[in-house]
Amino acid sequence: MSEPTSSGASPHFMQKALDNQWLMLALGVLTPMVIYTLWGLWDVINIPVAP
Amino acid sequence: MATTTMSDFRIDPVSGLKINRTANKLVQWNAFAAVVFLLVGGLFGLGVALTRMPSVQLLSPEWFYVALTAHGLINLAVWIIFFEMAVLYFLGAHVLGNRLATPRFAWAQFWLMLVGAALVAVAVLSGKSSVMMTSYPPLQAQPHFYLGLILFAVGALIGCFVFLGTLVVAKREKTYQGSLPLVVFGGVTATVIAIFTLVSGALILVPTFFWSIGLISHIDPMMYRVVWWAFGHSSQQINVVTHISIWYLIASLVFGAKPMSEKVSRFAFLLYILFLQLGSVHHLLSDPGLTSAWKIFNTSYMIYLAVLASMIHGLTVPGSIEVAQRRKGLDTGLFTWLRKAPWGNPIFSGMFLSLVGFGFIGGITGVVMSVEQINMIIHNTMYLPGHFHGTLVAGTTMAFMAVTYWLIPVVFQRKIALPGVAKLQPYVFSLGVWVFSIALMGAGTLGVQRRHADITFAGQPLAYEYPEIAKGLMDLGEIFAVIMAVGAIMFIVVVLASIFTGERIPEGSAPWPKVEDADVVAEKTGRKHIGVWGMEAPGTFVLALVLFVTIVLYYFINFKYLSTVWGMS
Repeated sequence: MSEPTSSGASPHFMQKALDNQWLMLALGVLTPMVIYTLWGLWDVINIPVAP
Repeated sequence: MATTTMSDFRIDPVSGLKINRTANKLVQWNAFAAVVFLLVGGLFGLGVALTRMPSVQLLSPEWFYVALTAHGLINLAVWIIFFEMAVLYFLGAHVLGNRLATPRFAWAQFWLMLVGAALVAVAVLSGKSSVMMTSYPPLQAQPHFYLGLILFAVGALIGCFVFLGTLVVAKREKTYQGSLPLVVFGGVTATVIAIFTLVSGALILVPTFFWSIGLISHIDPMMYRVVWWAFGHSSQQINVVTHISIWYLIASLVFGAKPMSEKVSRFAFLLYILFLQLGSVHHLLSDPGLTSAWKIFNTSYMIYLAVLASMIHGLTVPGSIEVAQRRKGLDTGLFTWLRKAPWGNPIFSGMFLSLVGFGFIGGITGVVMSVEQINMIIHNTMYLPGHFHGTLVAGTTMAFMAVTYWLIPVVFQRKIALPGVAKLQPYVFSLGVWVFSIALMGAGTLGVQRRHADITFAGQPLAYEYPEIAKGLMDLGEIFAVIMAVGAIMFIVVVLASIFTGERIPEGSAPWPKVEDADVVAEKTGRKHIGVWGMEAPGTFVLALVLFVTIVLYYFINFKYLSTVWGMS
């Protein structure tokens, strides 16, 4: 959790998210893994085999 | 919990940073190994360049492929990732005044990467693993080639987790308040991309290793290409993030500059975390088995969000320098701030040349070649080496060299030896790589194929005669490759001379004069309003417009060229 700001207010949710390196790691691995790697492999798997 | 005492740290007189001694040893060894590998890989690169020069053709085809494989792997992976490990430990430990989470694991990182690189080198130099960096099946290398790459990747993965663990320690021991500094957040971004990259590398290299020892009978070449490029291209995106973080660091060190908007810069790094790795697709735009939906969604939609992030960084780094310079009194005209910048300081000149070279040469061409139709004109031609020398050498390597001139006094406690050579070095190196990249891209646009020792195809049954201008461009490019090599050797000489013979900076010596924070100077002088036309950084705005117009023009020129090679009636 991010610490309160100097004014005592809780940090913006976006700042909290960016301060969470494990969330960044999950997003940065899952996003390309799904839309690049898995989708790309799905395309290759679905190429029809030549008769 | 490990205990640390004050004797584990020293206060660095150059930077004012609290330096952990153990972490510093690891920064030193990783940085030193990086520079040694830069030398080795660079010499192989010189061999490649002198062979590709039609009027010289130095190496036999067999040795050409040995040299090309060694140059690609050592300079694209080994030099850069060793340096990145040094940067990550520097950011996690030194910038945060912190200790390393697990020094033993960090040493494991160093030795695994070193042993891995040595295994790959032995395999390549034997002449039986000339599969080039991509090592596409059915080309098969010796098993220890793949094993070496796996060990290297595992070592780097360990380094990434040591960095993340170090951030946890810093937070727990309260060595910083609030959010991570922007430059360290850049390190987090690079680490996230590195972990995706290295996991992808393991996913494809482990089965390929089993194939090389006969445990698996077949590796599907198309599947290999999809997964390998998640490793091969994303590894270059780690570099982009690291060198951009270095730009921010140098802007702060040399000018006392602050990002124009830290929120916007952090958001740009988030866009990198989400989308930068998708640039891998542009290597596969000519592969027939992959659907257009996959290609277009990744390259023409998602990757533009990462391009937007690059344009934000490209605007905010020089913008922050302009604002700082104007606050310090250089507030006349559009470009006084730039004209009066310290061009004789290799830390600044190297950083700015890296920014311009990366933006105008590597960046623009990378964006344009990611368009599926345009990609068909230049796919697998010399355009590609031209492009990635624009990103990796003009951008990343130049930025790493620039920051090294600052790191040597801080990390090695030595003054820079041969300052006159250091002052000239960024200009010689950048001149070499800029002309080299542009000439090779010109030759590639004329169709010259990459990965051939001899563009004349002398003695081959299917000879092809390229236009004379293509041969001229190859000669010109490779002459400037020699100039680039001279620039690299100047850097290596300065680094080694400084480390081994440079004047020692004793511990506890008087602090070096600090660059004043631009905001503090502005407050002292009562300067509240800066800039012209109601803009704080109008010069940077004009430079950004020049970049934008160049992209648009270059984009349309390529479509015009495509229409001539692919007639429509």
